[in-house]
Amino acid sequence: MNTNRLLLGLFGIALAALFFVNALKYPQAAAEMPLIYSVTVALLSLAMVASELLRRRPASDAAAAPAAEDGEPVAIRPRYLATAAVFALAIAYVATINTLGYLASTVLFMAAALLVIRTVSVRFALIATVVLVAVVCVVFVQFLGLPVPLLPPAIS
Amino acid sequence: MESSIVMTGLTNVFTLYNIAAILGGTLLGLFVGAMPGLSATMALALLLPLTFSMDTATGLSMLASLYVGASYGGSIAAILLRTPGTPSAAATVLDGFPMSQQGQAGKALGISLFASFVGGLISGVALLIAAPLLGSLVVQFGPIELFAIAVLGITIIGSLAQGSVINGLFSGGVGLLVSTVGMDLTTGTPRMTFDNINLFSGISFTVALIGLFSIPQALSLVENSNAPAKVASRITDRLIPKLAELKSLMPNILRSSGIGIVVGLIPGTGGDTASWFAYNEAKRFAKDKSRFGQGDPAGVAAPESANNAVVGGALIPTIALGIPGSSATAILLGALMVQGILPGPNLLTDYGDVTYTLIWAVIFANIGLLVVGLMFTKASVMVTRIPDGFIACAIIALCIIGAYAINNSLFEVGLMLGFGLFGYWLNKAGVSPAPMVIGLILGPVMENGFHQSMLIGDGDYRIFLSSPIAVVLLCLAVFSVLQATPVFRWLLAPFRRGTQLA
Repeated sequence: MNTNRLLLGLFGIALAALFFVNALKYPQAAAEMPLIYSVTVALLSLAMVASELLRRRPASDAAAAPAAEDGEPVAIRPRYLATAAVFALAIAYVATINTLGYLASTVLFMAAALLVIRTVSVRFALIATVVLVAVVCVVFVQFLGLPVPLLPPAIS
Repeated sequence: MESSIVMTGLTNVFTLYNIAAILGGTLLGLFVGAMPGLSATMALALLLPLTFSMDTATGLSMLASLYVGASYGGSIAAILLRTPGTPSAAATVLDGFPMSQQGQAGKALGISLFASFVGGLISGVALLIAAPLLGSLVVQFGPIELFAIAVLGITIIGSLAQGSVINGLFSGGVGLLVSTVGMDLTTGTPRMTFDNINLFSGISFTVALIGLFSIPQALSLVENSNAPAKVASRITDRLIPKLAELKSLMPNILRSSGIGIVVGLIPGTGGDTASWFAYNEAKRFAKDKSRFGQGDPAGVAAPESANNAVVGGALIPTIALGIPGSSATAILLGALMVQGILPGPNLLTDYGDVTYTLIWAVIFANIGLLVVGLMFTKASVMVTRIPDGFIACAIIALCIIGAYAINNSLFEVGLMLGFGLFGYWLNKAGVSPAPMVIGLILGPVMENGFHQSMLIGDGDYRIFLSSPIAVVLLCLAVFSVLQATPVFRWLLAPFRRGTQLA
């Protein structure tokens, strides 16, 4: 049984219910499609949950498994904690762009995320981060004219 | 076919600036495709915001060439690292890697490059010929047929996506549901906006696209970042194959190109299906089947010509019907939408100049691929050495600035991260995000078609049965769902038993 799929099915039911209940308040013309879609998603979600619950043998996660070397599976422990930490850092990065400015927040994000991952050498991380920030500034700020605050409001 | 529109498309692409964009896009695609774990779809999603400020022809040329470049680039990692750079290069590993172990890495890459070029070029020409022919058939379609086409598009993509039909349709259904967020155009009612002004104009298709295709790949790279780094094989021999070798492989390349075009035509199937199909056919037609898997050049040529031929094939339904054949073509359709062009059968009539620009861009991108491939294939080995951890962080940083570039809104960046997390969950659950993106595109088309049809039919649902074309399309939609269910196998069981007894 794939727990993620089971939870996704339950999420689908909740999402469909939310859309359905909201759609009941709309005028008929605006409500028709959300109602049809939400009922369809709810039925598909129910089918997904039912098929997972009825599945006796464990679902094979072949697609998610790491690539085999010489026919033997390679035992690699997925780094879920590091993944969650990098995602949390990405949220913090977005939240600080307006306060710290794009340059400082990007450098801080890269430094913190690479520190969490710990598989990249310091020299490579330094050079590559400088190149990345430079490319982003040239392409997005100079070329596209994106009005992103590069420096903190106090300095700029 | 309006020859003037065809020529307008050609002149749009054939400028110095656009040729430079094609070469740049192909090079970028080559590098992205060569990096294991990164897909063409992800690169296209990241590049899309960059094209907003570009001229239409330049933006389309760059996106099309990136798609073509990445389709070939996937074979570099497959041949040198035994890890397919893109899913469509998986079949190339079987004979490509043994060739590189035998000191023939250059030859394998050269065959892959020429096969990709021929496959891509043939599919581009097929696109130029077939799309207008199909387009002229559907030009008379009204709202009833458009609704039926949208229903067929979503069911066929949902049914043929990875995993079970339920998973695919679920993903498509969620996409349709999300497409209803925002102000309803008929009544002006805000739907699922929670009084948030940022949601009144709906959820930007590009925001969802970047989140669903790029963030999950970055998170997966972090998740597996402690895997031992693979060492790429060295290229010691020449890249350009001998003419006699190419001549002997040509029937195989032509057959595989045909397979790629036909498979690409079917929405929901992609380069991976085409390359395995072509590989099996090449093996079936081979005089000495035992050489397959041991480093047979035919085992490299077949999947590579097929997966590049898919590009043009998948664009045929996209352009003629407005149904994206794959997630990558959905992004190309998104690029057209950015230019204010709505998907649908009128792409070739109302927006013929822009559409033919895209078609010519695909053809020129294949010529650019040959040039760039010959010059930079050896250099692209370097990008396979970039640590996965850094690539993951760089992707996230680029996603954030890319999502911000769409409307200069941090709210949309947050939304993109939300879609990214949902995409990661979909991956873990084995559900493809591609139908969800297609659902987001086809949702408004379906809703408009539905409302207009109901107005024509005076609120009677039987209006959808009044058009024979719509009936056929809706029957095909039902069939596409049923063929992937146990019901279909149960219905076919008596016939199978009969065949076995005979």
